[in-house]
Amino acid sequence: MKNKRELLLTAGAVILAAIVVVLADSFMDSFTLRVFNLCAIYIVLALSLNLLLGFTGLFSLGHAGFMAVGAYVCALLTMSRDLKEMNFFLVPLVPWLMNISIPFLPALVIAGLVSAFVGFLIAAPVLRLKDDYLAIATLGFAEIIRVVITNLQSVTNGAQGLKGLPRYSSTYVVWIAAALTTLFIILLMRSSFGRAMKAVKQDEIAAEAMGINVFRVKVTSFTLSSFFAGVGGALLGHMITTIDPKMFTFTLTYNIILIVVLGGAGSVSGSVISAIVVTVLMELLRFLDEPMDLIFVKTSGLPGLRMVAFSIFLMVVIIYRQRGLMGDRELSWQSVGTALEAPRRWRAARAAKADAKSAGKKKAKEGRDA
Amino acid sequence: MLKTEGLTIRFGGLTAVSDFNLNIGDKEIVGLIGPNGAGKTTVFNMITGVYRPTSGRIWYRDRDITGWKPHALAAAGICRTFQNIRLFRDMTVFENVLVGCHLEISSDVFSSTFRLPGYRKREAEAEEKAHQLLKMVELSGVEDEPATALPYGQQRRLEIVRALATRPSILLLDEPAAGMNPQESLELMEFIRRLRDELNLSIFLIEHHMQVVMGVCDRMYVLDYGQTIAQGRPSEIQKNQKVIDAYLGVQ
Repeated sequence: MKNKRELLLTAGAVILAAIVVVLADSFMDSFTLRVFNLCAIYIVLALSLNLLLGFTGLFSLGHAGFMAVGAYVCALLTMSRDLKEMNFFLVPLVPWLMNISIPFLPALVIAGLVSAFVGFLIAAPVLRLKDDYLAIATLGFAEIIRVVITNLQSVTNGAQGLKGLPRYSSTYVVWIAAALTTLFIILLMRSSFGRAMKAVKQDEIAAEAMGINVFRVKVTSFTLSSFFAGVGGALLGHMITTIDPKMFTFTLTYNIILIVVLGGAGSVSGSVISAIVVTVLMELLRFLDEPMDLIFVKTSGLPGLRMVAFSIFLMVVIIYRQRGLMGDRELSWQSVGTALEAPRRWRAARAAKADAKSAGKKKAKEGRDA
Repeated sequence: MLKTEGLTIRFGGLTAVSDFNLNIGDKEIVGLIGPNGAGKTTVFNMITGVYRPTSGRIWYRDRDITGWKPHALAAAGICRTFQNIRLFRDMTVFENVLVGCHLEISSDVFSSTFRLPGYRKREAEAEEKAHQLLKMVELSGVEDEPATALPYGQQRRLEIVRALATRPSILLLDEPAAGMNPQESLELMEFIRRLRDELNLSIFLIEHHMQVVMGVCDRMYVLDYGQTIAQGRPSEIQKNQKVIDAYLGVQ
């Protein structure tokens, strides 16, 4: 915060955002509200991946795995005994989990912590690898997590998944989670630890020579990212109210990567904006998957056409803005001001050009006259 | 202060450096020269923990530091610069120096994220120190510029300042004068002497500019094909037949 005015503007923006959330919760119909809340969950998930990809420079494809851990832990902790008995009709749930039923908020935190712990365990072997190898290894671990969940019937109910979870992910819960995550990441990135993370991303060898314990920074970043992924997964589970292993495939990770890359790896505001844009577009573009009658062409519904549209969108963005919409910059009041003045500057530039042109013409005419 | 005994490293069948014995005293400026590919940077990489020597020991203040990791060595007081400048490209000049202060802030995730009291104080001190260091090398005016926007000579200076921010007692400079014109090289020599005198540093440097090495070093070592072919004062090295042969070639 450079000055008082910017601080006030920021406070205003936060209050405005809070009012929007309150209004949305009271006036939106249930479908729109669901999309609105999904935006918040994707903000949490995108920021958690950005922590790895954008700030520490670790290319991980294992996000869905950590989300699965979070979702399952939270679900098993919050479901009532009756609900569990109803779900586990093929293979009974292990007894020690049967009787646990705790409130949602502590369960959410525990889900994040368990996911962070899994992330920590995986980090040690995986982070010895770099770049593409790291991506492949994390992808592999995410698959392992999914396969374990599918087969560990007495704990996870296997492929049937868990149904009828209580709908705890209310508008307020998800948006407060998104706000806290955003705040945490902003504070982290402005601290010396955040600086160390950026240093590791930009030049590992130099960072190490400056006394930064690169491995520790990476493990910490991976663990934190897993924590938020777990929280995001738990929120998602309690919003959809049904979870099964098929939900947490690579496609889910892909969606989050899409958001982060579109928004700009290394930009908090980029991730937030992009999470909202992508989530809304995913719903708005749903008509693409349905049968269409375009006078000349008739399609009988192509499921997945939406993703084609997204891929094209992504390509266009990457061609024109290699580093995503925001690059690694942040939205600041200064940049907003510049953007607001853009039309005026454009008009001024055009006027100046016209002036120059007419002056040039005049000069030419004078020259001819002479 | 810094001593190596029989430092040897082999890459597969190739012995890149063999039986290198170094001794650097307090406040001493020592040079390491040799033709391209002689193994100079490899020596640096072994001392700073990037490579682990195949055999031999490295001693620093009577402690065996062989095989220590680079960040631990930086914490112990050994810091270096790089032949091909390695600044943090997307950071400002000031932030680059602050990264060098990382050891002093020595914060974990939570105390730094939540700005716990001790952290605030250390961070403020680090910022103050970074300002001072930048002032010392006359880079105060460009603090908020992106590091890569600086001209080449200033980037070199910034890299040295960033290393100084770790509060080293021995500084290793890998070709600090590379790409500098004669005027800049002279300024650099002056700067290196100042570092030694004002900050009581020992300096170990690799350099190709003979004018610089001969002018600034107290003692030097000459490497050729990984072997130490000569050592001594600059005046002795200049007359050494082996050194002349290595540089000019023998018939």
